[in-house]
Amino acid sequence: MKIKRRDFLKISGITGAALTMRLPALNAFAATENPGGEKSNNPGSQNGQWIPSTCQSCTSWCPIEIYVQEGRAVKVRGNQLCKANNGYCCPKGHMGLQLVYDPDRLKVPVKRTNLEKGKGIDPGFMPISWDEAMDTIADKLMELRNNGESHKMMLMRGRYSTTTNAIAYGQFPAIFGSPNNISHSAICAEGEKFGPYFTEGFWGYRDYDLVHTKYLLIWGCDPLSSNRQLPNMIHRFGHLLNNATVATVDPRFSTSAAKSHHWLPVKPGEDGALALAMAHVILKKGLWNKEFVGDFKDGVNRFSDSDSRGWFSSQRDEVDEDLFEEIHTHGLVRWWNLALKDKTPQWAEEKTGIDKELIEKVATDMGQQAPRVAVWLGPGPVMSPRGAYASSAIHALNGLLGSVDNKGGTLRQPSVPLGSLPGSEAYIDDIAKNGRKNPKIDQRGTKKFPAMARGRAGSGVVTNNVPNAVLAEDPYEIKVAIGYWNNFAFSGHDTKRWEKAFTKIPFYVCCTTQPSELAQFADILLPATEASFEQINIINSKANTYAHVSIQQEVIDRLWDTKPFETEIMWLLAEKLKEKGFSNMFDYFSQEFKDPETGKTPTTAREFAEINAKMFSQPVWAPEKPLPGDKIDGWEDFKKKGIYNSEPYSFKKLWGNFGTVTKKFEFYSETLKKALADHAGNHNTDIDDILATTGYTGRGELAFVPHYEPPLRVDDELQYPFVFIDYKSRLNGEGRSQNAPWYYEFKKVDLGDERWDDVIKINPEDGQKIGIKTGDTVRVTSIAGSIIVTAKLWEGVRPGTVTKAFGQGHWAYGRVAAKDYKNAIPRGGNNNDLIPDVYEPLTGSSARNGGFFGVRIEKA
Amino acid sequence: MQAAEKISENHAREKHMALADCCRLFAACFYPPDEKLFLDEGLTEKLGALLKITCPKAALPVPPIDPYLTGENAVALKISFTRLFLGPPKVLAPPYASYYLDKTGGVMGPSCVAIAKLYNGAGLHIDDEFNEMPDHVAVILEFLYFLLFREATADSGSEEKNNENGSVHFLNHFLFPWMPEFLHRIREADEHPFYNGLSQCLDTFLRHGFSKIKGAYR
Repeated sequence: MKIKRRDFLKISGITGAALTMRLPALNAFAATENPGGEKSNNPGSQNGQWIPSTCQSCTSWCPIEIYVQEGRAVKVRGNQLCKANNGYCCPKGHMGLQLVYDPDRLKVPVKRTNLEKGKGIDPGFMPISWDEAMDTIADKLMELRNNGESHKMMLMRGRYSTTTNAIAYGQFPAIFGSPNNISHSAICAEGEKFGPYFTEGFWGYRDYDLVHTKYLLIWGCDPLSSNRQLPNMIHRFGHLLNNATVATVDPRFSTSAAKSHHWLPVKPGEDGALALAMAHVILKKGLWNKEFVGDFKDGVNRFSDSDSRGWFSSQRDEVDEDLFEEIHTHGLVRWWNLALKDKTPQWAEEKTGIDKELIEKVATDMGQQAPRVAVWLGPGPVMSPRGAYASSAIHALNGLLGSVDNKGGTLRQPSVPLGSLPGSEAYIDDIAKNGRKNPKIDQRGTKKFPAMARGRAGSGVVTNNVPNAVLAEDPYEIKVAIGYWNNFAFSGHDTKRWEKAFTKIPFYVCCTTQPSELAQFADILLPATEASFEQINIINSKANTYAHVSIQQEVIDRLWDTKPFETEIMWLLAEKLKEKGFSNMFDYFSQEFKDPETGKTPTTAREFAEINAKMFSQPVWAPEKPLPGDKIDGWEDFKKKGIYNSEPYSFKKLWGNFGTVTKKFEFYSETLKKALADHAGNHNTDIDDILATTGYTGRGELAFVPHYEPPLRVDDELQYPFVFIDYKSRLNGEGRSQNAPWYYEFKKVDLGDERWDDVIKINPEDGQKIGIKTGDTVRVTSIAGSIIVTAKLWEGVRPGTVTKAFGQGHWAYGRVAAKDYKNAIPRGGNNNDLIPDVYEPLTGSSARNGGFFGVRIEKA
Repeated sequence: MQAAEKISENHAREKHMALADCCRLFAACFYPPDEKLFLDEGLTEKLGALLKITCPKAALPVPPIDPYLTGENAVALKISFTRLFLGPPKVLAPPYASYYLDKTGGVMGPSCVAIAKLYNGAGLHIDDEFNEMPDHVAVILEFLYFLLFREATADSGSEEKNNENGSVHFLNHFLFPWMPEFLHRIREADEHPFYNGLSQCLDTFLRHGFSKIKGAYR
């Protein structure tokens, strides 16, 4: 928005009849050739139309359609062609309307004028042009390269597109010369992937065949509110209740728990004990799936509560491994002998607080329905200090029941063809190669952080450790940071560390839609497009036994001078770096990216974004040979439909070929054994030492099977008596929806919550003990920090625990999100101010649940 | 037409054009400050001169912008502009008509569409390089300028001349109902003397500069 015509400031200065000869001096307007017709930036058709796009408010990544009427987005629904979400979207999709039309959105690039940084310190932002912004950023980057310090640039990714991610997160740091592309993943749910990987070789999130499931065990998540396939779960839940049994393991009375047939309110951190006891019951009763697992050679079940004399004994005999013939699994008997034989429901009842009869019933009923059983593992039990083995124990139930890769069970996804980026090797110079040789800033792969993503030590991210490393300058100083679509000063645990780290970093560029907490520390702020409404991109996801490729497109004109980071901003940056003598990135973009239809290379940022989208999606709209899924007739047809659906999932294709060391489903994980041995070898030590360093109690052979790990507690239970349970609101757009008034209007959709309030739920027995009643304003304090919220007495948490939704507590982000933005006073409280900086080190995950810390509650 | 009538009509046209020019210069005041341009063109000096003709009551509080367009003062002015109209932090005085008229908490409400339709009906559309909402205060004031300009330059007896509903309707429906609250927010924020004065000046201008209109500027 600028005055580009000097005569806009002139006085007409003509008198009399000559006035009639004048033309108006306009600036914001241009004349329309066809008055009353349609024109960009002006009202479109009154009838409106549904235009396909993709929602990224959570990790479901739902194909949606947006109804655009007279140039305005007015409604959202699921893409009617989508087989994963059945044509529905969840409340988060609808809330996108309030996010895109938020008056507090970042509108133009701004720069900081106040050199002092810190929470509550006004940055004194003032508007600058894109050219000035890019020029300044390029100068800072070139300074690093010229000094041989390219590794001191850190790129931090939050949410991302599955395709353009490869440009910004992959190619930019590679060509520039930094090892530091840091993802948010370890504050999300990496722990969830540990169990599936080290049992069946799958590092990813699972799908479930809910249509054919006869028993659904939801574990540590609330899939009616969050967790990766919301619309499908909401759509299927009625069917499930009528045709299957649904049980939910959650210390909190979640939405899913409220509607389930059984609620198992496990004590936080004792999920592993519960899973092991269920496995014990399934084996003892001979209910494992013989087709998948195999059987005793003579058909006689030796998994028993009695010893060889037939007496019930806590000192049970071990079972001879040679007596059992496994088919698609590995190490069942060894698992029993090492970690299961004495893990009875009675033992688990003491640990978990769940009646032994209920444990036995759920396990037995699941066994009787095997293999049409899905154990749906969420982050609750595994994003905890010793959560890795709980992850394995819970997922191993799917192995016992033969439900892995099976009808009615837990699945991966059908393949969908996607394009890939052109090779960039020729554009990576020696400076970049040298820079990339440096270790990553997050200290992954050090002895205390094995971070074994996909079984490779040091390959996973340790997101929440970044501020510690930055503050300690270990392994080195970070001089330039660039972040997009994240807000770690709100979403990272023990938030004050993030604030300190970003106060220290000399130059920080933040690209965001809303003015986030982290944006307050930025030297330059770049306004981002709202992904679902204002940019072109290609996304892929899965649910309901289908995978898909879907489009994001500019369904409305961009409201302000915003741009997508992963494509257009990367292009602008490449142009600027070229101006300053480093043309490799621009050469790569401008020479290697070609429109698959015309062969044309990009000449502008927008062309670059569109060509990239076409390149990635070409395999679905112009396949080399007919695809088994939808038939798409070219690029225009793909834009019109917005989606390619795969063929449905083919079951049992993985049986005999799992991605583990043995190719089997590993109860005794040779894959984990190798990974731990590699990490120990890297540090010239043994596996037991690694387990001790990472805080695990298991030693020896226990390390390779799902086994019981007692919950870790990092504080004094007497000082902080109430175990804190964090959960996600069904209205959370991953922490980005709190400047939308609808968030507060509809907050009661989260069980126990109140409109326009942020309540901590306390069991009435506890409330009475400490003299707190509903409506009291309370200070909640942990070893990490404190927040002030409203108390609510609620029976949905067991005595000794309290719970509050993550989402509120913004001290920035906009007029609604913050109570007083100017003075950094939050509306409600941020759970992450309370959650201490603790890890599950085998995955690098940040711990947020599992009973490892408590809070005290006092009237404020 | 008699000579006297002609003189009178020309005088009326000139005054109408001055009124239009005032709106255009007020619109310019809501753009991000452009030091060189504003100094070169003497933005507030011209505005003050025009107001003396069109609305002397508003001329008195017209704030001189020149002292704020150099050195550190220019930075301070831009920071205040950001706080008031752009953000971050939160926009203290959202400069969008539909924010006030529709009260949805967002921008681009139904009123914005209605306003854009008026532009379209008048043969205008927002320039592709102009990255703001159609109902931004600067655009609203520019369109008011356009309507007044068209009325001032219309032939005697033409539709535009005889039917001043263009500007009157626009003022009554799309300025008067929300400008008082918007301008009050600027003064309440008390960010910068220039914008405080601009708010006061424009408030007076809208209240008294269109006194013939039986509108509802409160």
